[in-house]
Amino acid sequence: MKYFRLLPFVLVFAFVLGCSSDSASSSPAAPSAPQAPKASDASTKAQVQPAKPSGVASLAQTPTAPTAPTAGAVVKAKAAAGGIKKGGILVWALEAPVKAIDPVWTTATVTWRSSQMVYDSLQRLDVDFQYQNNGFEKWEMQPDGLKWTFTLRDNMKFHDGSKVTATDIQKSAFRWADRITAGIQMMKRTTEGNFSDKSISVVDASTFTLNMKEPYPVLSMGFSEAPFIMKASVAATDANSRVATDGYEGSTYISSGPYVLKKWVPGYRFEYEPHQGWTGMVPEGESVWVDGVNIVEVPDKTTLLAGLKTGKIDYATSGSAEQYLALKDDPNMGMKVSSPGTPILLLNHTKSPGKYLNWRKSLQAAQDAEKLMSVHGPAQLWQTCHAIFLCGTPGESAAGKDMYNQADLTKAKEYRDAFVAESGWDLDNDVVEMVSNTSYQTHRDRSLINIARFKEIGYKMNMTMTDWATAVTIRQNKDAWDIFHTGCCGIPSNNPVMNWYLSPKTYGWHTNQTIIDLQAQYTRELTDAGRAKVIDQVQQSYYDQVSHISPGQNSGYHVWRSSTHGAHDYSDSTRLTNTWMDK
Amino acid sequence: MQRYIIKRLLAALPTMAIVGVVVFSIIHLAPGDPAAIMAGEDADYEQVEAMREAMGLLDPIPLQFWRFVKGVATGDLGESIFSGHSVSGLIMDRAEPTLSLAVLSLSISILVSIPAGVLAAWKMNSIFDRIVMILALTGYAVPYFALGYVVIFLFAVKVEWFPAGGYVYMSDNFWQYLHHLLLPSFVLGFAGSALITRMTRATMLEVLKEDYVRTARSKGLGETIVLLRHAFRNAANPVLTVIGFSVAGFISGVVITETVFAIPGMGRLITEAISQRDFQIIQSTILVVALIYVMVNLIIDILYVFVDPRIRYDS
Repeated sequence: MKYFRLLPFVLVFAFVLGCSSDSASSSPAAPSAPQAPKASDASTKAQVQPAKPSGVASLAQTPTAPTAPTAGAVVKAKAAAGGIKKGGILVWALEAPVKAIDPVWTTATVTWRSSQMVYDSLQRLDVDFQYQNNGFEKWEMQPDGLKWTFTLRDNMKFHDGSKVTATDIQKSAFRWADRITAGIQMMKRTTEGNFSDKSISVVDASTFTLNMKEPYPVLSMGFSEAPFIMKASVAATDANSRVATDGYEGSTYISSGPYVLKKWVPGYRFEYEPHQGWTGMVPEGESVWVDGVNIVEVPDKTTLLAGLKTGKIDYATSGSAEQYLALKDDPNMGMKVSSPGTPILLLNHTKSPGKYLNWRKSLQAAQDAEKLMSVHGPAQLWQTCHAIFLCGTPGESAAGKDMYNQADLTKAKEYRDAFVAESGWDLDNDVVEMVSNTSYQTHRDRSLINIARFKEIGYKMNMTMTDWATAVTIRQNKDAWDIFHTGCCGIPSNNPVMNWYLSPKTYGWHTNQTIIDLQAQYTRELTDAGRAKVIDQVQQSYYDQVSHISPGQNSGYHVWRSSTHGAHDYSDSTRLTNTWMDK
Repeated sequence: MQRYIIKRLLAALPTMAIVGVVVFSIIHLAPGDPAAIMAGEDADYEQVEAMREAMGLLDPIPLQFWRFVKGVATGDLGESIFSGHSVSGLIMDRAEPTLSLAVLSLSISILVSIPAGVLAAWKMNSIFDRIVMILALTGYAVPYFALGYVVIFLFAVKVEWFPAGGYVYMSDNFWQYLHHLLLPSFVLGFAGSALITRMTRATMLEVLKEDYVRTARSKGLGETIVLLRHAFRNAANPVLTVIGFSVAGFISGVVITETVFAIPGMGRLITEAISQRDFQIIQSTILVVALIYVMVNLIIDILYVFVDPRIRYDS
C-alpha cells in the first residue's frame, strides 16, 4: 500500500518520458529535407508533423527548431505582460514604384514585398533559412516519394470570410506553376506533367495530394514562401495576364494573409487593414498588432532619409548604400542587412566569342572581385564570395574556388591568345558587345570597371548603355550582345534548380550539359549531404566551363525607427506581423 | 473674339493629331518591351512571347494605333499595361497634385517676381536692384533638386515646420494639402520667378524711358500710378509671354520636384511609365500635356487683348 503513494510520481515520470520520446521522434517541420526512408520504414507511411503552434520544449528538440524561445513566443509573452502597445498606422516606404500587385503575374521585388502582407503562402523561410509550415497543418509523403498528402490549416480564411479550400490551393498552384520557376520545376515532375486533377488532386475541402512521377524530396523549393494563394475563381486567370483590378477594394485582390488591401492609388500609396481574426502559423504565435499599414512611394533617397529622421516614415526597405553608415550609427534607427543576392555577368553562349571557352576563361581570369563589388557601397553591404549559391547559407561550396577572383591579366591574355588561335577572332576589328543600363547604378558602375578591364586584355569593346527597359529588349536578341550586366537570386533561389541563369533556356543560353544533368539529379537527392555534393559539382562545372561570371554577393538593408519593433525578428520577409510601435 | 477662340480651338485639333501620331510612333519605334520587364529575369523567350500576346503587343502596329485613336475619340484612354487601372483615372488622380503645384508655384512666382522686377527697374543700379538680380540669377542657376534638398534639410529636418515630402489630397484635408505643397511650390516658384523677374525688369526699363512715362510724371501723377498704370501695363505683354513659357517650364519642372518631394503627380506618372514602357500611359499622358500647352497658349493670347486694348484678333 505504501508503494501505492508513489503511483502519481510514476505516472508523471512516465508522462514526461512519453513526451520527450514523442519529441525526439518527430520529423522536420517542413518537407524541405526529409531523410532517406529507412528500410524498416518501407511498409509504413512517412508521418511528418507540422511545426506546433505551442510547446517550446518539444520544438526545441526538433532538428530545425531554434533552441531559444521563438520570436513569436517572446512577443506573445510580452503582449501578455502588457509590454506591447497595440495600434497605430505603420508607414512603410518601398524602394521602387509598385506597377502591379498580382504576385504571380510579375516577379518584381516590390510586388513580392507588398504581396506578402496580403497573400498567404504554404510555407515560409525563417531567419535560419529553414522552411516552416504556414498554410499546411500537416503533410505526409509516401515512402517512395511519389505521393504527398497535404492538409490545410483549419482556420485559414480569405479576407471575405470564406474558408480556404484545397480547390483554391489547387487552382492557385496551377496558376503559379505556369509562371514561376519553382512551380514549373515542381509541375514538370508530376504524373501528368500538366495542370490536371491527376497532378494535384483534391481529396476533400482541406486535403489535396501532389502526385509525382519521380521523387521530388526538395519540394519546399516549390511550395516555399511564394505568396500565391488566391480564390479558385481568381486563380483561373491566365498566368500571363494580370488579375483584373476592378475589385482590389473588394473581391479580387484577396487572399488569407494578415492584412487586407483596402486601397491602392498607383504611384502614391497602399492602405492595409488587419485581417480580423487572422492567426499565423509561425511557431509560438504570430499576430497583427498595428491598426494598419500604409505603404508610400518615396522615389528620392534623400527625402526618404528626411522622412525617417522626422518620424514621418516608420519603416523602409529602400535605404541607399550611401546612407547606410549614417543610419547605422543613428540611435533612433534599427537596421537589418537583408539577405544577399548575386551580381551576374551574363555571357552569351550562342555565338562567337561567347561560344569559345577560352574567351570566357579570359574574362574570368581578369575579374577583380574586390573592385567590382566595391560599387555596392560600404563593406557591410557586400562581400567577395566564390559560392554561386551564396556564402553563409546552406548552399555555400568551395568547389572551383581557385578560379574565382584571379585578377590575373597575364593569364587572361594567355586564354585570349588561345581563343584567337582557335576562332580567328581579329582583335583589331572584331568587337565584343557589352550591354549595361543606367537604371541600376551598380550595374552601370560594374560595367564601367569591366569594360576597362576587358580592354586591358586586348579586346575591342563596344558598350550599349541604356535604360533597363531597352537593355532587356536587346537581351532577347541572341545576336545583339556578348556580355550583359544584371543581378540574380536571393535566398529562396540559392540552389541549382531555381537559379535562373543556370537554366539553358534563359539569357546566355549556356550549353553546359554537366550542369543540366546535375540540376535533374539535385531534385532527386534525398539527403542534405547528397544535395551538397551536387552543389559542389555544379559549382565546379560552373567555374570550369565559365557558364557566367559571379563576382560576389551584395545586400540591401531594411531600416526602421526605434519606435518600431519586431519587423524582422522572425523572418527576412516583409509581412509585418508581430510588429508593433510605441510611438 | 468668340470666333477667334473657336478658330484657335479648331486649329488645336490637327496639332493634337500630329502630337498623337508622333508620340505613338516614337514609343513604338523606340526599343523597350514591357513584356520583357514584367516577365522578369527568369523568363524564357516563350514566356515573354506569351506575355506579349496577352498584352496585345503582337497585334499589328496600325491596329494598335487604330485602337488608340478610337479610344481617344471616345474618351477612353485605355488601361495601364501594368496596373490595369484606367489611364484616364490615373491622369485624374495625378492631375490634382500637378496642377496644384503648378498653380501655387506660378502664383508665388508672379507675386514675387513682378513687384521685384518693377521695383528693380524703378531703382535701377540700387542695392535693391542688385540683390534682386543676384537672387534671380541664383534661381536660374540652382537646379530644382538641389534647392529642394536644401529646403527639406532646413524646414523639414531642422526646424520641422513642413513635411519632407508626400501629398494630401485637397478633399482629404485642405490645410494638410497646403502644408504639404508649400515647400515644393516655393522651390518651383523660386526657380520660375527668375525669368519673370528679369523680363519684367528689362521691359520696365525700356518703358520707363518712353515719352508717355515722362509726360505722366510731368503731369504730377504719383509714382505708383506711373509705374503700375502707365509703365507696367505697357510692359506686361512680354511678361505675359514669359509667364506662358514658364507654365511649360513648370510642367517639365514638376517631374523633378515631384520626385524630390514624393508627390504623386503627372510628371512622375510619365517618367515611371517611360521607364516601364507602359505605352498606354505614355501616349495618353503626353497627349493631355500637349493639350494643356495648347490651352495655356490660347489663354495667354486672349489675355493679351485685355492687357493691351490695341490688340484686336477679330480684325
